[in-house]
Amino acid sequence: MRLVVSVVPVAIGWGMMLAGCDRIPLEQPAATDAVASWDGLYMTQCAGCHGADGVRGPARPLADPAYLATVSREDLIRVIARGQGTFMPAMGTVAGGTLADAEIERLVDGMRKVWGKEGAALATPWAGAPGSAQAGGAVYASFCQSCHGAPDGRSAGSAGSVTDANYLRLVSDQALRSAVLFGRRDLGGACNGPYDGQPRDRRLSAQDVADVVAFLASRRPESGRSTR
Amino acid sequence: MLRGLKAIIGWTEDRSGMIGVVTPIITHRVPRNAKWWYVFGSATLMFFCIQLVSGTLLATLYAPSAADAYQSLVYIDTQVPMGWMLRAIHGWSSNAMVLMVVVHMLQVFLHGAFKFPRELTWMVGVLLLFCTLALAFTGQIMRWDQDAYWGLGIGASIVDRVPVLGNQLRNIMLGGPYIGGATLSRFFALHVFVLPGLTIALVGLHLWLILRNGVSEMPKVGEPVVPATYRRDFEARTERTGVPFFPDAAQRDMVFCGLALIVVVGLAALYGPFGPNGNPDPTVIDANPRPDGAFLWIFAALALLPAQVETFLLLAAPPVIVLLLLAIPLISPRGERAPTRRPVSVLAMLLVCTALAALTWLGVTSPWSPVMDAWTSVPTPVRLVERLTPLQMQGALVMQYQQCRNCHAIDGTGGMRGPDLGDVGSRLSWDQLVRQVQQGGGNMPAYGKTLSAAETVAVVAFLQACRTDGQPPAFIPGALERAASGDLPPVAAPVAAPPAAP
Amino acid sequence: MNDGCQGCGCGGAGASPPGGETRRGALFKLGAGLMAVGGAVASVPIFGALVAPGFRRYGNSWLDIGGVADYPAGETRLAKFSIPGASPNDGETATAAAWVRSMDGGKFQVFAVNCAHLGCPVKWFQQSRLFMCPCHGGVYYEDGSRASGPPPRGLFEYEWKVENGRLLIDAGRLPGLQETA
Repeated sequence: MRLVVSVVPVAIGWGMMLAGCDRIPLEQPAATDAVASWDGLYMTQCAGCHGADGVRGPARPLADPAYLATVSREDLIRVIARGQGTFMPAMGTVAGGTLADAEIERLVDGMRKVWGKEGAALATPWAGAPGSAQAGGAVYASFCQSCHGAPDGRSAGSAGSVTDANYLRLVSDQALRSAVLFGRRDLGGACNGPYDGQPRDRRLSAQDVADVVAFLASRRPESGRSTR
Repeated sequence: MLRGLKAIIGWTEDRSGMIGVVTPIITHRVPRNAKWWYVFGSATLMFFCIQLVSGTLLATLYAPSAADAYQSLVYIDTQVPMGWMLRAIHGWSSNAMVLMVVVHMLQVFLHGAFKFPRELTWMVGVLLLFCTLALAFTGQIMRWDQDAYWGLGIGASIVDRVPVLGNQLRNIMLGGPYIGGATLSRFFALHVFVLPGLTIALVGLHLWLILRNGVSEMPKVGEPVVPATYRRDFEARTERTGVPFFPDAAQRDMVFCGLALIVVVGLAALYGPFGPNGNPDPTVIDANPRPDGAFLWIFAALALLPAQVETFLLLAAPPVIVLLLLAIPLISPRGERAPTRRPVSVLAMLLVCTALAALTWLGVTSPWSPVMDAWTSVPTPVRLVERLTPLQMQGALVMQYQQCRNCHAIDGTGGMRGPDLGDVGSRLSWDQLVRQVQQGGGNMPAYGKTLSAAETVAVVAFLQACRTDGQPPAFIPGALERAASGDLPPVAAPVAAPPAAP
Repeated sequence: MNDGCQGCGCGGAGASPPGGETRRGALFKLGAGLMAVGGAVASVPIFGALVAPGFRRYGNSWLDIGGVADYPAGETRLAKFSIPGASPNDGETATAAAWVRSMDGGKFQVFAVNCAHLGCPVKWFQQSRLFMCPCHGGVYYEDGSRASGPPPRGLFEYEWKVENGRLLIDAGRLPGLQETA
């Protein structure tokens, strides 16, 4: 009996080794140069601002099919690599960041595959020049004012002011345009936009979008934008 | 056959006399009450033997050159059959040896076993403690990964602080003006030749002293050590009531050592080897160096020492600690051994243990270290995002963009260096927040030159919104009245932003 | 050691005749002397190799860390370089890095990556214009001056010069409080 007790574990050990099975299944050798998966990259590089699941962060939600379909792959890659001149930092090694080109492409492709949806693109393009500030004032009054308050600050809206001088100093025209186009539906806001799900008569036309961006930009103080 | 064996043994004994020498040693009489308390020294010795065997085998596989060491470890882990297990046993057994040597020492101290005539045994034991720690530290360097490289950098920086000769000593330690191949070779020689050799010699001396002076009895209240009569009384007692070390006392050692060995082998099999963690490439800046478990308390102390006395303590503390430990039996060579009669000693021991445990815990959590990727990886709590105005939302972005989160947690996530900002809006008023952000202070950098006026307003607006439900924002006394008279915007306004300075 | 034979096991002191005593004493002294001389001679190469790095002067060496155009003004970039005269078995450790701050007007500041506290690698953050250390939380401003944490001084700086559009730094030694890069 004693002999069995002492011989069996040793025999198992040698048997495993001779069979070339020298590792308990629990302990796999760590891959030395594992390629980071796109969601791993997202969690370490993006989640801080864009939210843990791509929504409900202080920055634009990325788990937004309309956004991912409207903005081209090349534009997404460019913005991630070189930044936007806003609080979106230049993440690419080309601009002093830490992400290699291949990593950025993997990130973009992963986001578009998992969060994107075919045919979700808006008719209105992502980028475009501002329109007429005067016409934009009227668009603001009829579409935005009820939530964001009067531009002169006399009536505060439930969603907070977007005509505040400091806010406008910190955001780019493109950021304003994106906000108008895609809203913040992840936060439960029923922001008017040209996207699906909005009643047809409450949808902004492409011209409306350009005009209201021009109106907001015109409210920006003379000293201009003050991000880097 | 049996007769043949007996003849061989008889012949060997006749020519060598070894059995005659060894038998009295292993059957020497030890006190009957030397029970489970006494197993830790044997366990330390067992783990040291395991280190010698596994270390010798590792030396047959390891390439002690800075160019190849890392790859040779990866090769041992992935290609050599059972190589990973060999490394795992060497690593886990090293930790076990450090643990056992400390427990053994605490037991000896608690029971006053270092008193007359065993002072020298204690002193040799103290030297063995430092040999063990030195082996553990140099062993970490053998791993030749990022932790090893930057750990050497920390060691070099400490040596560099020695007055006058610091730079020379540092270059001698490194084998040159930078950490490189010469450094690894030096520490390899220390780890596999100098320190093991020294340890074997000291273990021999330690065991010889035990044989000469006997194993101490369990302390009894009212039986103080009196040097004039101790030896005679002890020998008489042991002769009368003692038992032979082998097999009577050794059986407990064997049970404990066997169990400890099984635990260590099990841990090694389950959790595998330590490291190596990342190439030792000095140009990889994203390293996050951490020492092994036995040195985490030093890592913590280095973060917490006040700057004015840091260099002095760094250089003065090690010799003082060594001398103090060596001097313990000279300070108190006689008198009561029972812990109940030595309250100061026992309290001092508890104090040291608590301090070491607390520092080690701090070393594990290292709250003083910025979390280098928190700004891109730790999200702003959703409970806050959901109620922010557009301006405050920009402020939340400033928080991330300016790496504030590397040092500041919000609702418990993020760096721990600065205070958690989850409720800062109800602790600091608008003006206090502006002052803190712009001028820094209290170990925070000043952001006045980095932030534009609009960014400052936005981030302060966000910080003011960082409150738990139902908490009003902090206000300076009298400000409510001034706000009512129209000098300041009202408290409850969603954007409580005073006009920005140009 | 030179005073006599006691405790050395070198001779039966009591049993020897007086003449032998003297002769053995003289022989012993000669032996001890020869051993001392031989040992001293042998120890020079044995320990000399060990302590030589402490007595050698490690001179200046200007290292090319790239063209001036590689460092856009207003930015701080990581420069990687090889340590001159490295030994063949240094492997990756024969390389080193420095933070190059490029300022307007062709001025530079070149900082060691090693924290002035205990030498851990500091990382540059472009956004907050701070260097942060992962070990004990030392923080420095973009000009290398200490911002917070335990460091006793600002970052170590390398000497630099521009020759033919190339940026050269005086480096190759691990920086430290007494080895100011």
